[in-house]
Amino acid sequence: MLFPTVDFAIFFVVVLTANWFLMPHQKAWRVVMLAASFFFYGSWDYRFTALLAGSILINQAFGVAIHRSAGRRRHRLVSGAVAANLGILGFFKYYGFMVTSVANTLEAIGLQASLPLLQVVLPVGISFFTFQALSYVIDIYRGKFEPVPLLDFGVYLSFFPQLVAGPIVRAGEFLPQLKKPRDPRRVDSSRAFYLIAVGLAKKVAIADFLATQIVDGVFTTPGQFSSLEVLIGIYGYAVQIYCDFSAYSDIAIGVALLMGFSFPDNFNAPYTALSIRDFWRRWHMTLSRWLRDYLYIPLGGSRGSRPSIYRNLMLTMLLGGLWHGAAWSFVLWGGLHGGWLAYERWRDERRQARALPAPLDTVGRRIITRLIVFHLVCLGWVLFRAGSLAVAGDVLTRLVTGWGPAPAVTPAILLAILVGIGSQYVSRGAVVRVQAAFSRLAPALQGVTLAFALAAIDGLGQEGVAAFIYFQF
Amino acid sequence: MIDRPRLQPRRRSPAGHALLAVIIALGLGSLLNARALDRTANNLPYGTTRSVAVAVTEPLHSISSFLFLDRPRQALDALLGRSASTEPTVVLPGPDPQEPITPSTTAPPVEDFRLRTPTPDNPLKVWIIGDSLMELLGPSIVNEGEDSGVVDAEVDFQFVSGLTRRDFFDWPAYATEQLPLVQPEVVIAMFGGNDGQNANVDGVIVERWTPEWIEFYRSRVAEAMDTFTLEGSQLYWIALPIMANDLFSQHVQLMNDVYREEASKRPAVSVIESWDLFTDESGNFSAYLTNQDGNLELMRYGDGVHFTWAGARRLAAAILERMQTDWSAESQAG
Repeated sequence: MLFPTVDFAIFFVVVLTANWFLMPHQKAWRVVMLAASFFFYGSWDYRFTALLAGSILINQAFGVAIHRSAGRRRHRLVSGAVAANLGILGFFKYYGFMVTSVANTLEAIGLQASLPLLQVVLPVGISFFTFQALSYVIDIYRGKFEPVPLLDFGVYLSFFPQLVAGPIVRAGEFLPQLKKPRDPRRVDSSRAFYLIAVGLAKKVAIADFLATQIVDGVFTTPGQFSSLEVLIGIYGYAVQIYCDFSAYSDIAIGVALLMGFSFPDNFNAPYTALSIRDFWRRWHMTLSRWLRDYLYIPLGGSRGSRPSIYRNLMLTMLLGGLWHGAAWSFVLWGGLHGGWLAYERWRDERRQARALPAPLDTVGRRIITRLIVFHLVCLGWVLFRAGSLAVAGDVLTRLVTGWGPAPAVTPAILLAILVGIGSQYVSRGAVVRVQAAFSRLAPALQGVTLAFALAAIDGLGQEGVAAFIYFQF
Repeated sequence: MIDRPRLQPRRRSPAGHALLAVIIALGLGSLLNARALDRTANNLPYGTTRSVAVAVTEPLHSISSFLFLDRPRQALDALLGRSASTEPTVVLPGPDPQEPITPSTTAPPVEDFRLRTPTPDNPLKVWIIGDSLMELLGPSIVNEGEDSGVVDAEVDFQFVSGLTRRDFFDWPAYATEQLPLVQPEVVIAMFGGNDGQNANVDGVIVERWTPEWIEFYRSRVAEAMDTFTLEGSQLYWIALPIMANDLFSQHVQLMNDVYREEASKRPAVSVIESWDLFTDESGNFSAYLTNQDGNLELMRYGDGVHFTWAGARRLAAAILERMQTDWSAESQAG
């Protein structure tokens, strides 16, 4: 059930109504929200719901056991929880990659093995809810909070707005909001409506448009495009993935707000970043923070020797790349970001060690720095989108060898790219002013305004809605 | 010191107001977009869901038109250079999309296509069409063809399209428009992935897989083959591969029989088989197969239908090999 569909609209009206009518009856509210979330998840494939239910039961059991234990047993239990979660995730995400790699390696050394060639279907959202479950058991282990009742944990892990593609809402961010009923007198509806409308516009009018008009072609048949078309295709993908993924986050946050929940932001104008470190503070922020708190810091973080810090950075980004899927192109993508993060750290430390002054903060320098960072990110996107090193090589080769006219680059494509990037330079103040002005309209007028916005967004889009890019992760 | 104007905070609203705004937005939005909703409902497969959806959207469309609420959307469409006739459903004057079952058994109008030896200076012009099965297969043919240096191919596939539901996408009509523009010497077509659904024939719903449905489908395939060869192109029709689902595989064999039988009546049409390319040693479906380098690779996606890149390359290689045989100097000399 995709957000920009009639099916979801009907589902959401029913659930939103139930949400507020049942608010005084918290037990009933929990049961209905759990059922609604399972219905939402089962709309992809009912078999997936068993996996989600299993994840809830296993992690709750681990959470309770960890809380009741101490010492080495506690450590063993949290290790078991991490292994179980990563084992399930690994089976679904990497089974095919592993089994073919093993078979081909054995074949190469003259051994033939009959391996079980199961075709494993990747359940949507498994990477997201597994990371959320890990945050729950690890935070219990760290003593940050006690296990909550099974029903509460079930509602948290399956909560439909962010279930499929984030943001990754940690247990510590969600569960405290469950403790008391959300206040029906103070719903942040204007921000919610703004996020939903902007998210729909980004997805339907920009991301899907760029995908079909140039990006898909450039990345599937690069040889048919000139250098300029390939360049615009790469820029197009940078805008597409931002507009696609941030749209899902925006709509998820907006939907949750209408139900009285506050989720963390997931994007903050990432293409305005002045460094790769800055980029990761603005892109998929909830994953960055998760990797920092549950991987980078436990690895040693920024403590220890300089080589160990660089190693930690690189390992975190490599694993972040692998989180997206089993392909060398994802590993290289993570390596590119990890390597550049290490370089930036080395550069800053060297400057400090030599007591050199910080570079002058001029407009020109900012523009050049942003351009460099944006193009580095685009280079990473080529690896990310290509799916294989061979295709990435074809795209990059064509970028520098395919001189010629660019009939595929139309004014509409350039406009979509400009809007996608330009929107990130709109000040927060302007956004807040729009939301504040909207919040002062009467509800009926708000509804009418939204109706025209929905009609316009649908009109600007194309027939049908493509799945969100991050569903595959 | 400059006093900056303070930003006014957002007003929080009661849940009832938010709910009211949502209901008005979706209700009015449905009326403003009634035509698109009605089209979406009509495009659903024939069955209960479609009947219910159409029963809701048709009156909605009528109310919208009566109240002139469809005008803003029409104005936007006009601004974007769209009109009802340029919507994805391509309708050309001529055959009624719901014409009676009259299977075409006539020979194709063009029989004098001539094979030549393509060269890098004068490559073979190829037009690749089909449904979502062509999503990766088409680009694979293009890429492999480019490597050969003598094939100039372009892909024109449409998701969710096929030959059964001409009201959703009318391939013969679209091809009639496009063929004079593209002027291909070769058309490569692959359909069938979405064709296994009930058909509307003169207002009567024909159940899929029944003998009546097979005859209906035969007429659609025949007309498609005749249309795709109208400009003198050689048509390579790709038969469907084995599927993970046994029942679907049985139905695929029914459709493949139709393709073979209709192609046999037309000298400009050749069927390229794909079934055995995706079976294991026992002749069963296998998602993993050994590629030409001897490595095990995943050939089909989890749905057991669509090709992965590796699967698409496997079939593309078979198609190009067949074309190379047909279009080589040796075969023409022979």
